[in-house]
Amino acid sequence: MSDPTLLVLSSLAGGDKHGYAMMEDIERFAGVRLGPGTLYGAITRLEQRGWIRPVNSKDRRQPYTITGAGREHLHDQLASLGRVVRTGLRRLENA
Amino acid sequence: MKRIVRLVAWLYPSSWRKRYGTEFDALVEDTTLTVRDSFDVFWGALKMQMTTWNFGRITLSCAVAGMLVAAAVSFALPAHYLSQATLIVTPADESTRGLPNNLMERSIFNREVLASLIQAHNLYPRERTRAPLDVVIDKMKSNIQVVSILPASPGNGGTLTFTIRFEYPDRYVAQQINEELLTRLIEGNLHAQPDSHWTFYVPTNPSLPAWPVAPNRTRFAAVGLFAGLLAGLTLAGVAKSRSSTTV
Repeated sequence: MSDPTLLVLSSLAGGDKHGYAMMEDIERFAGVRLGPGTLYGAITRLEQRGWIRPVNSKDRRQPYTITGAGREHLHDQLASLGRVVRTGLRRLENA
Repeated sequence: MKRIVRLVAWLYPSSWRKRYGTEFDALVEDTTLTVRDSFDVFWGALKMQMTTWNFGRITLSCAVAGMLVAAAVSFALPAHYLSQATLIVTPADESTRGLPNNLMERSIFNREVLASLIQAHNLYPRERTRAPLDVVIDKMKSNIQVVSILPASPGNGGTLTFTIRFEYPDRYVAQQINEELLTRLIEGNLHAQPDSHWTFYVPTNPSLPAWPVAPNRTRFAAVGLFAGLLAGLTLAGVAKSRSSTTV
């Protein structure tokens, strides 16, 4: 799985994080290292969709939090992905 | 590497930099960056530009870029100049019609004549290093045009009017060779018919062309503009569909 928006949402589902913390977290749980351009492309799109929002901070490192709509979207996407994974595994076993 | 990535980050739209610039800079500060990251930022900036630009701006920018590239290409191509001369041939009496048989072939398009001109004036030096003389002669033939602009008729006493043109990358050489071609045409007639029945008159001497005839820079720019416009429309369409489908 390498969709940066799903990776960012999955990372933020575990708690608020700033860009660098997201990069580290994603690399840890997905084994994917997002470049700064890819990460901020995803952050920009997710914020425009209202699926994440910035958290008040005085630090230059801006933390983000996942919104209710973001959780819902992530849940739908992962459920859909889960169905694909289960089907694929079942078919592999039966092959 | 951080310095390069910061420089590349200036390619992001100003509105984006205003909103995310500080935190992006903090991320760059914290991260150990690689060359791959600088390309990642470059690609990210490009995509962000595409999403923030509107349909018209993308189309217009591509059209202008296409026109500029085509214009630059047209300036990079070697120019060709066309020297022209007008020749009027009048028969001595009404009974004489037309020029001696094969006069043009013998005096202008003759391979020996052209070979001697090529060697005497060192014409087509680059082509001669790459191709045999026969091929270069054919090229020279294609650069010569003899056009009848006023055919003989009973009304004008059988007078023929021609334009003789020669095209070459050097305008002075184009004029000089055109003069030679004209001279050879007249002399060729005298040799063929010592008691010549024709009077040759040159109302317009071979011109020294001021502007190149090729490449046609206006046409190049117009084609570039049109191609850029098409590419811009396609790109704007792709950007629009991507922004509406991408999460």
